Amino acid sequence: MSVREAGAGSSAIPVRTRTAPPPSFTLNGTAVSLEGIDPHETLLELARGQGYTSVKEGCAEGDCGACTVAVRQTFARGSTYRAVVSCLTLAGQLSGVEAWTAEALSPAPLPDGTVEDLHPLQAAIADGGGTQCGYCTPGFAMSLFAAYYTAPRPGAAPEGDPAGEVLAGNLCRCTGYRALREAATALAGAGVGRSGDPFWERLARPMPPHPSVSVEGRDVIAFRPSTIDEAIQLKIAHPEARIVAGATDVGVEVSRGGRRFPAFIMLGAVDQLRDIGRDDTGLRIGAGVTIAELKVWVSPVTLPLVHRLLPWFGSRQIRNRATVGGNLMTASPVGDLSVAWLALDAKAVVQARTGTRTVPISRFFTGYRQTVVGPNELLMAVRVPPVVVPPGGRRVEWAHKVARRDRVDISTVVAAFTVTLNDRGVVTDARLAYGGVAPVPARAARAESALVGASWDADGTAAARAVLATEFAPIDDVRASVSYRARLVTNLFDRCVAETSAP
Amino acid sequence: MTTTADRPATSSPTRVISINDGANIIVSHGDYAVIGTRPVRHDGVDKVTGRAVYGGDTRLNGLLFGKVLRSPHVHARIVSIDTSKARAVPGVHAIVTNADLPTAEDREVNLGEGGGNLKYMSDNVLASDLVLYKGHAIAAVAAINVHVAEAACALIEVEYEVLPAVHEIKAAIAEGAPLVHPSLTTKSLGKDTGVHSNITNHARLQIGDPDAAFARADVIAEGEFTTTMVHQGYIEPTNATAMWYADGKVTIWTSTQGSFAARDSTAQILGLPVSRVKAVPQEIGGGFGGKINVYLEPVAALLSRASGRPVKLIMTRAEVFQATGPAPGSYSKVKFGATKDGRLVAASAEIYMESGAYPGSDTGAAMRCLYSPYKIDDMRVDGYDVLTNRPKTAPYRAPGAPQAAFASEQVIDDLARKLGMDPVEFRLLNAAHEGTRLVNGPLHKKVGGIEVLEQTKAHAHYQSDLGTPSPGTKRGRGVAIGYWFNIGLPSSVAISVNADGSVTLVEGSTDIGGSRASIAMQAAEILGVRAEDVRPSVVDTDSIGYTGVTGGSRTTYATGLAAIEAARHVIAQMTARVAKVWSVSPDEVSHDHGAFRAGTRSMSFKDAAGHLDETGGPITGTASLDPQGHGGAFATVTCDVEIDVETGKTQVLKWTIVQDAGKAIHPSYVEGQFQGASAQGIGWALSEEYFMNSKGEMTNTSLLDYRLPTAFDVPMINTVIVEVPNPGHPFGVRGVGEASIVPPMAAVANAIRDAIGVRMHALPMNPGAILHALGTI
Ligand SMILES: Cc1cc2nc3c(=O)[nH]c(=O)nc-3n(C[C@H](O)[C@H](O)[C@H](O)COP(=O)(O)OP(=O)(O)OC[C@H]3O[C@@H](n4cnc5c(N)ncnc54)[C@H](O)[C@@H]3O)c2cc1C
Ligand code: FES
Ligand code: FES
Repeated sequence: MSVREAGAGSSAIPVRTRTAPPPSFTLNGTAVSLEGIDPHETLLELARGQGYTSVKEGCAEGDCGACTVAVRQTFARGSTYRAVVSCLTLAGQLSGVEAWTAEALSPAPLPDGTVEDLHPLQAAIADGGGTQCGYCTPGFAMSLFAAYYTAPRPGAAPEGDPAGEVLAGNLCRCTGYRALREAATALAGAGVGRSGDPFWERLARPMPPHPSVSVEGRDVIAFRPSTIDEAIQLKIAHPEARIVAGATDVGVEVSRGGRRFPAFIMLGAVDQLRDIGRDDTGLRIGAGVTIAELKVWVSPVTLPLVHRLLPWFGSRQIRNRATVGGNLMTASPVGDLSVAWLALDAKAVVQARTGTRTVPISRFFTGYRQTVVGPNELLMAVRVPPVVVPPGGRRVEWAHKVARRDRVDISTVVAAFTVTLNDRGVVTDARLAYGGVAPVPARAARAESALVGASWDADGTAAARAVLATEFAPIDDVRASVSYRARLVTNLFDRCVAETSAP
Repeated sequence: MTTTADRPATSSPTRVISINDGANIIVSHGDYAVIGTRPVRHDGVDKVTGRAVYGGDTRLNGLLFGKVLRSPHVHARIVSIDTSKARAVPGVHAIVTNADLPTAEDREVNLGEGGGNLKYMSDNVLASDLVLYKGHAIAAVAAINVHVAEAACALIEVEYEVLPAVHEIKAAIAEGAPLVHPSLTTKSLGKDTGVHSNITNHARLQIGDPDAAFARADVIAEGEFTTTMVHQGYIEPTNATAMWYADGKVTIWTSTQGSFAARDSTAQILGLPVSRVKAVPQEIGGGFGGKINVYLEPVAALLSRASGRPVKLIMTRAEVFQATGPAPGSYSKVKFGATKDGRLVAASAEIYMESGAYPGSDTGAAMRCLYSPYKIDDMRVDGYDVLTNRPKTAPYRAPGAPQAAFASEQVIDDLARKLGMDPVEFRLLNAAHEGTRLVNGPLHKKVGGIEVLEQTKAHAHYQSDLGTPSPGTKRGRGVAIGYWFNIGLPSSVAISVNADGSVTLVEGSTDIGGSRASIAMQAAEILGVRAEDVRPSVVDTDSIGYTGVTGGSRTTYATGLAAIEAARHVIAQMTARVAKVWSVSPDEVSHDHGAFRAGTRSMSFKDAAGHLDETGGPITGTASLDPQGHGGAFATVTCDVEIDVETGKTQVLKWTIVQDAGKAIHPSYVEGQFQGASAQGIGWALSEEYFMNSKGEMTNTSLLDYRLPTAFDVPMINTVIVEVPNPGHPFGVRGVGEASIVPPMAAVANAIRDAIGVRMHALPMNPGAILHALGTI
């Protein structure tokens, strides 16, 4: 296993005296010690170092899925397997994790004494022409593995392209995906309740405890607090430490960019950050809630706008790790959820040692990739106020993401609108939020005021639309030109009006 | 249906096999025991269980890890390189630069297939005086791990004198453009013009007198088209591991499409006789033409010599994009003329293709393929190789032909529109066939263009309606045809018989698309055993005779022929042994479907294998050959698109590819080739490009920004395998790996034209390009 060189300034970090057991995680059923491991090391490197070379690197930044492994996570009253990209999973996040690679799938002893030479999903890939060069194959196998043991959510509307959803986080350049799609269609959910299958039966077992054990390399420590208080204390003691939630942004900096941090504070074990709840002040979504968890929770009734937007977010592997808090704190001009929160008039709950403060998202971003959250503070949650609709009126919630691909892409332009109409179909309140047209996610304030009092149809909104056309000054980049982005600003507005003007 | 008078009657295939509810169809001839069946590939289990060993998985005792320092500039002179600080880093074992390479002569060297200029090859591996593109290798470090090597690279001090650069074809051919190689002069039609420019070569192919023929045309269509540089996009990054042993012998372990090509290039660059270099091919995670040239192998060898330990180098994705050979961008002008009854009478074209930093592009192949689907009496094509300050380009699946077809097949579509003819009918009316003259001179041998077009027309997809578009969208359908000539090249195979009746087959062709299976199956057919009874392995360059690269769609054809010959050699020896057992003359023993017979006596292959010990010991059948009977292949794509006219996004709804395989040895892998190339074509058409900033630097060097299609972007691809046997192969094999990527970009462009009424002149046809074409931005 390789050892990274020390980063400058790292020697200043006081090392905590350890009371907890030595850090470790489980890989293919065997405990692997994390003692002395540099927390920057990725699960990809660790697994390969353990000899599990089915875990392949194709990009080191979460795009290709060749490094996909499955991890077992608590779910409802039991547990479930989730596909994650090992190239963006840092050693410092691993204490207590149970991870599986393609090597573990076969041969599998079944309780009746027989041995399954190949796991059914491996057989399906091999028989159906789902592997050519084979480099992508173990990653696909693990995405299929997670889908195989996951029951379709009761009552959930079927996704437009369920097989595509299973596979979108894995790139294959050889097969054209047909055979893989056939395998995904045949096998998603097929392992649910398969008696005698050791992987299925394992899901009923309790999860290993999520110990709050730090991972300590030669001169870098990854703290793993289990309470908010502890996290804040650590942040105050180590202002230079990088907070990590799902690591889908931080991991890219480490894995592709070779960034070194003097210390980490890993939030994965802070359960208080993972709650979603409702009270009279509205919804409260913990900063540690993953996009996948949020996607399960939202519906066309609760947070319709977010419900509409989330399928476009990353891939399954990314959604299983990426968090609501990380998305806001990254402060990307095209952070999809940031744009949604802006339209929903949400507020960020920020915790300092002295207490919490609440900041409207519209004042949250202070500049390109900058936020109001100070070095000693922690983002706790996002609050979404309740929707108030005038009697006889209605509320329009609409969102659309334009990217060059439908999955696993960064928005070229993303729009999220909420518009309140009175009983006569006249706008009483509007929030038009955009990503990708300004250095920060931004609202079209002038167009919003111009909309108030207008009737919600193409004619009525024409004046506001003219204002909207001049509201932003977008930039050229690899994803699109200035003129394309500028055009999309009004085109998306038009589409929203066309789709929602009739109740 | 209209047909040309001089066209031979089509040989109607004998049988239509349909699987998957008509989605995958085979139009087949001939029945065999093994060929045409679908056994699980020999490497399948290792791949699904993750146990296959790829280049990057190579493990050796004492292994060091390397990293390459690359140019941050697009064009610069290297004034000095100071490695002293880097050498002082603990854990660093060796640092090498171009100074460690023998002085390369400025001469062409023979590499078995095509040649190369040794100085250019050597300078591309480690720059000498000039860096010619961003990412050009300058120095390399070997250290105890890759992080230390990276840190040391950052400490190497290089002083540059930045030079003006050219980033794309039109700028490079403009008057007064900065020169990539100031000393080079343009060769035109075989003569040195003495003119210094970025055009290194101008070639022309002409039949008849097209200028006069255009005067006879009633209808003319023409257009100018550009395509951008794209990457093969293999998922496994380029890698190499090398050990320079104390006796002066070098072994390289690498993921390569051609172990002999890798050996020969490495030996040439290192100035060693080939006898001192051995290449051990590892499992390869995709190549598509991009893993033929060597980039890291000589560097790993130098680092190993300097450190005395084995050294492994693996590129990052950004390095793969910036420092390996992508497919060239192109600029073409194409013109076709037809009579009003729809006969093509004249064609002319100019094709400019980028070669990147060193001379030599795919222009020749583009010129050969451009007109191949058609019978035209008067035609001319001019081709130009253009230098730019970009990575040296490399082959990518049917190199050159897709760029040419993007231009020509759109002009053909326009011509059919002007004539009011159905696009498939128009192509059928003018279809090339056996005996049609090709622009490069020879006549088409037996080819399946007409059969492919007929299957395209008859397919349910072509016959279906477009359906109702979703709100805010428009739908269209496009068709295009493409040709690839396929190649032969030498191959070697050895087959040994085991006592249990199984056989071991060793070959030199690295397997990138299922060739182990398709070659083993041909041997099995001849031997009369099951596919599972043949155990194929790809071996190193010391263990088998010379074998050309896996490329040019040659492997199932040429290495297949070697396997057939080797199997026949085995049968001849076995026949003699069986004769010995029966005490008869060998002439009296026959072999058929795995059974040896003499009169009423019969013995299975397996039983005969059991008698080897007592009849004279082991049997090995070998064959090394250089076949010339390869046959070209046609492919068509029919595709339906839906375009969101507000966002400019194009969704491919339906896709059918019809291709002549000659004979599909393993139909699933043939379909796999068609489908894989189709997906690549969808990416090339809609989203893939080297996006360059104003300084000529690629800004999308990650897979998040360089958009390969995901499963979400590719529909369920329908395939039709047409089998028009190639007379140059006993089973009729043509080779299937490349023709399928020729038509997709043009087919998508034609579908877009059909949907929105606008002709697309450039790739990629991304959302911005669509809105631009619509005039809304
Ligand atoms: C392949 C890929 C696809 C992607 N697709 C999308 C997409 O479609 N849409 C999109 O918007 N984004 C996308 N992203 C970006 C990323 O996934 C999101 O921004 C994600 O929400 C980040 O969450 P995380 O938990 O992984 O953040 P981390 O990487 O863990 O952290 C991100 C930043 O937030 C800080 N941070 C995290 N939590 C807290 C907290 N509680 N308090 C204070 N600071 C905190 C961290 O210090 C860090 O600076 C994609 C990324 C990848 C790699
Ligand atoms: S290596 Fe590509 S997603 Fe991890
Ligand atoms: S089989 Fe080669 S990348 Fe998928």
